[in-house]
Amino acid sequence: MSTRLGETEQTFAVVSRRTRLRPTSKVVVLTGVVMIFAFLTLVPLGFLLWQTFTEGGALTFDAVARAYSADALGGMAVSSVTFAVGTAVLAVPLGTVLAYLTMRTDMPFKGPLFVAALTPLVIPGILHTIAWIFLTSPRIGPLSQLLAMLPGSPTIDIFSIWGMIWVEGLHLTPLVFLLMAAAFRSMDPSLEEVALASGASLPRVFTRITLPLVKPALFASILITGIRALEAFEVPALLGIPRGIWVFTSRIWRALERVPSDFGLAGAFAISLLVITSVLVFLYARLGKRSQRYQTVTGKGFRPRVVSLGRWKGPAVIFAISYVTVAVVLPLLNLLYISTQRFYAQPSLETIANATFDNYRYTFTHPQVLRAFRNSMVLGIGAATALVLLTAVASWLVVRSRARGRSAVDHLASIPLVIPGLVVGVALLVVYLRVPVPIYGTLWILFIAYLTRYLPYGMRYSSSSMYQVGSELEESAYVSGASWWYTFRRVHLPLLVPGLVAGWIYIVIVSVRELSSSILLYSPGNEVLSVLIWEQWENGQFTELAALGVVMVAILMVLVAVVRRLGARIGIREIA
Amino acid sequence: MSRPIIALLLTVSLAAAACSDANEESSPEDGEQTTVSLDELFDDLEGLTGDERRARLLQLALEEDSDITLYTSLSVDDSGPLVDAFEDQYDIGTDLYRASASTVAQRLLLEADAGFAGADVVMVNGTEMTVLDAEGLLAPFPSPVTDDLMPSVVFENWVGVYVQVFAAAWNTNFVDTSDAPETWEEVLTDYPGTLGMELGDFDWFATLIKDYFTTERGMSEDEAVALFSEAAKGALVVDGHTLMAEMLAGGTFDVASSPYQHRIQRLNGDGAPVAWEPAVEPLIARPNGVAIHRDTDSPATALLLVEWILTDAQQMFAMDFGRTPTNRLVEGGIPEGYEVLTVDLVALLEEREKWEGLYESVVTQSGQAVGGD
Amino acid sequence: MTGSTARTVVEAESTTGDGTAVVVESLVKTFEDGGSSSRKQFTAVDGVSFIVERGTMFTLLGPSGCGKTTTLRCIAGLETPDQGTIIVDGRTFTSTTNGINLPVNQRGLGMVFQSYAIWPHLDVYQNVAFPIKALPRKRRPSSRETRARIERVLDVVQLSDLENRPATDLSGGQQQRLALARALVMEPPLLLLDEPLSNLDAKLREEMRFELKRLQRELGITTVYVTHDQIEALSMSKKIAVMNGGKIEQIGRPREIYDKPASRFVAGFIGISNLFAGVVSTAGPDNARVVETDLGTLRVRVFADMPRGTQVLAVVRPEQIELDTVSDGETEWVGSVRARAFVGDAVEHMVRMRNGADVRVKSSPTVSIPPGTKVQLRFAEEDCTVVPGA
Repeated sequence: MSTRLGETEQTFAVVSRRTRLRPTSKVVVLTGVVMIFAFLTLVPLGFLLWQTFTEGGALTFDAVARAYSADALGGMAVSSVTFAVGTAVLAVPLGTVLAYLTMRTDMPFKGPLFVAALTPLVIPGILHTIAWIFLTSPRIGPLSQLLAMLPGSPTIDIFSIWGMIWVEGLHLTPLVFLLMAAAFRSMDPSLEEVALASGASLPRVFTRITLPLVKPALFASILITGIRALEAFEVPALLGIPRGIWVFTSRIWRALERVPSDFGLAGAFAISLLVITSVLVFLYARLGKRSQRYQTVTGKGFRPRVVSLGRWKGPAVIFAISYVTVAVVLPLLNLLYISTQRFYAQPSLETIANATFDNYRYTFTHPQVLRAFRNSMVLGIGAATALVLLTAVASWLVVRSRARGRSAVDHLASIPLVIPGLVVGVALLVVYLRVPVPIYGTLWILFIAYLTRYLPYGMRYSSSSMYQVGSELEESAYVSGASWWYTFRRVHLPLLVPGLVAGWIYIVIVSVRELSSSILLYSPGNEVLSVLIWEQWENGQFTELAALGVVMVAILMVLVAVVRRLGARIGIREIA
Repeated sequence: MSRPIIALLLTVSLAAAACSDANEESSPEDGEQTTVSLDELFDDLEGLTGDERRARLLQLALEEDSDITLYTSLSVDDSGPLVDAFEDQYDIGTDLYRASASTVAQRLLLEADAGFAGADVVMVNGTEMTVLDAEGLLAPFPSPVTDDLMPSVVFENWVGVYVQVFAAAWNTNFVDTSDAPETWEEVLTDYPGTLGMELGDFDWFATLIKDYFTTERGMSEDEAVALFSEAAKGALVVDGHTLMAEMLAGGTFDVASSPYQHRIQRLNGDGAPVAWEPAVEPLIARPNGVAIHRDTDSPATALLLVEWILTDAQQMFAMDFGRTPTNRLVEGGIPEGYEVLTVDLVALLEEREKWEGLYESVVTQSGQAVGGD
Repeated sequence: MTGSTARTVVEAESTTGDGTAVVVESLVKTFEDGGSSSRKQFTAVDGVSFIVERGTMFTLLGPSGCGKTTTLRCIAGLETPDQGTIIVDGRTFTSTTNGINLPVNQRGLGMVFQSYAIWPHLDVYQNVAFPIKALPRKRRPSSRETRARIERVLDVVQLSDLENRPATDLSGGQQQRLALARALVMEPPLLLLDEPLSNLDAKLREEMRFELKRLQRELGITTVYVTHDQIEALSMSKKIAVMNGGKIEQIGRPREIYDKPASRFVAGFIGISNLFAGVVSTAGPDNARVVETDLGTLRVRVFADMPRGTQVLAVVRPEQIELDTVSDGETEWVGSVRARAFVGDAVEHMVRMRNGADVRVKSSPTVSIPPGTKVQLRFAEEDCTVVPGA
């Protein structure tokens, strides 16, 4: 018999307890990842608490007192809650009906409707809000003009709580759509079919049978729209402030915009907001965790049979067309129009005839714009790559290892879900103004903000991918003599790639849209695209802004299309 | 062969990269100049004036051989050409950061806190300049150039570069001349729901109350504040004067309370339906200033820019930007004959907290929150 | 009682010296019951000991949850036992008393998992090459030798012409052979098989049974096999350990296990048994005993200590019983046929005895007794095994 490969001598067999602390690659990598997680999530929170509750080393509630003695406090709380509730009331039914039509009925034009329903996800919040301001501008906004033609000449005032709810609701509808679509897709259709067979009408079946079946997803949608609305920055800033409607986020921002910035005040508001979102996120986690984990990321599951719309087809189509027109087509079309003008004027045959490409020339040549593009790309790609790698390792720790306290890593990674983007910005400002690490004023502080904010999303993609890699695949590698690091590189990573790629692209897309952290942390020369749009708005550069917005949306839509292509192909290569 | 140090290497390289500069801004140490200190600079230029001075200064700047950064609140369509003109003339790279005055000031304070100096030259409105000065961020520049300026705008560490004029304006499509406001009271009371105000104009607010409503109109301070408060209740409060003017032109509101006169004038010239004349008097004027940042590491280049702005560029301010230049040798600005109130910067600095707080409570009150008060 | 029997068997055989490839001694493994809030401990393996002779196949047989897979995983190193010793080919893998526990990737064994655990992103060749590639650079053979080894082992499992096929394109049987090839490429001293045939359909299972046995014989590789299927165990193994509830109930050759089950569990688990409850009435020399049952008297030989008065169960297999007509006056072993079924190669009869017990009888296909007929059971007393129990 030939020599046995891989034979180790007897002496190596003695493994005493001391060697457990030997710096193998496994220990180094895992410890490093956990340290980074802790650094990203706990340090900003710690500093924020310290900043708000101490003054010269002593514990103080002065900042909190100042925050909550303001007369308008009651108004702020009421406005915040109204805004959050109103947004949920708009987005959840809208998204649910759209999802149902697309996933469970024989609705025509399902494909385009799916794409249209998801489009607002791709549009940066600031652009979306500004588009609606243009659209409803009294007298010269196309929508205002259209409405003026109706009997009674109704007018819209977008600068109101209703306007805020409308815009944010439309912006969050795609989110609800995604959540509910997933729920509908994995539903058992037989219950509905039985009801329909026994003669119930479609709407009745929908409300009595379908909705109760997807209750968890419904509650999850309500919670998440509420949370997002509370965290929203662009809409309350642009639409609320002009009429004195203040919410937590706008108060935080205002406190920082003072000369000098009032960190104590900002911190007090930030922590209150944090407490509220924590409670909501806790509820959401309780609801969603169980089902999410074992869901396959790509839908290789069964496709439930569709329900026939019958005489409801007409109304459904009308509804779909109205939604697409109002929510997607009108704002984008108006933006497109403005981008071809020299200055902001109401659309007419004359103005359309005088279209110019100057704004696009500006967008493609102005160094500031190009720099913002570069910054957004560098940050997005950098953050996505770093997060994907970090969370791949962390997901092994959480899902496959038997280390004690591994669920703590999962909880750590979820903390940023609770922290609104603006609060991340505040916290990081505090940290890096105090700590002598010179990253304020560079792209690095933005990088850290993005890492912090998108850590939970990276973790989610990585974990669900890791769950799908059976433990026996890993064990057979160990038995075959591979080290942990070798196994991770050669078995885990290649098998995780589909999920990681999806997560990577998702993070790139959302980071390009990011504003609420960037607006506090950017410095001249380090603007990203959404900050640039914000600046252009403040500078009154409406037409340039429109052109930039159109270009951004176009690029993002291309990215998303690529994702869908990739996703389809990746799904097939999944582990059988 | 295992590679266990990857994580450590990554951390180390990250830290190293963080320490190096991402852009060409100055390093975190303050004060110490690399080439020539400001004091040495002024000693060098002592006694020189006119072309001779300029030549010597240019030479020193070229020796420094560095780009500089200007932080300004001058609107972007003016600051761009300004910087371009400077670059064209002297072939010195100049980066521009433009934001609202309060944002620029807040940022400068934050940067100073972080030990980081992004700006070499600062050009913002007088109200914020006084704050920056009080925080010690500005460097003195004893330059003979300031002799030609209006004496009222020359301060120790900064000087006025142009005068900003606030003038009430209206949209001529929706407000006939007969309905146009004639007094400030009318501006604040006759246009409920269609008035536009600015978020940060507490200096305009303070001046009107202190030097007009309580003096000429005999109101008590409380009454005057209440007047503004009522006006703000239904008004649209925007952040930014250019934004305000553009929205006025677009018809988002009918009357604007505190836009800049030059912007309205320009829009009017371009054919937009806005007007400020016949003017609501008194007009409120406030100098905008320029200064050298204490922590600049290119003092000669910075001084060159400042002196250029106060001399050569003054023409641009008058002709192209429609501002009122502070250099008495240059003509331009608002027509004579209007009653003008100048913002009392010194008093305002002392009473800033009071007036800022008052104005804040006026414009941030819940207007049409819930239930529409 | 049966535990000690097993131990004495082990001790007896360990004197064969270096014919022994694997020694497992007093293995204990407990798990925390993670699901419930109470911290219950569940003992999966409770004092298991056995040895495996070099070059033979040893099977751990038992129902699910009996601890056989956990034992196998302890040998592999995928689980760390709480107590016990594991020695393979002279190397101590685990010795809790000495604080030794060799990490799984240093044990150099071959293992085939129940799900095969083929890496889907690699092709056949790469799957087999993995253990070689995973070696530290110093100990890796030349690429020429690597290729030679891989091709050799692929030839053994008859997958040579599928070398470059992606692993996911293989059928179940092919995947299993691939898993085998991967386990064998490093020529390990021990091969571990965890229910490798359970995912195959019946026909393929039968084929593979013979294949695996043939392979094992030809390569002469020491193998530990885990299964719940007694047919596999009986047909393939040299020695079987029947496990239940974390303990070994009996170790022995297949025939021993079948013919002489040492406990009620083994009797019930292996094959089909008819159990007759009785009491030892007389004890004779040479382990002879007389057992009184409800249905009749038996004279048997026992293998354990059963003094007078011991409650016992007599085990008789269906195929050991013949059905006879009943002469008048006969009372022992009398009952009547309740049901019969023709199953192709036999006729199964169900007989209801006088005391109400049901006895299953497997008769030759030509014997077919209609239900209702009174019959008497006939079987050889030496075919009858006696196990303790009530």
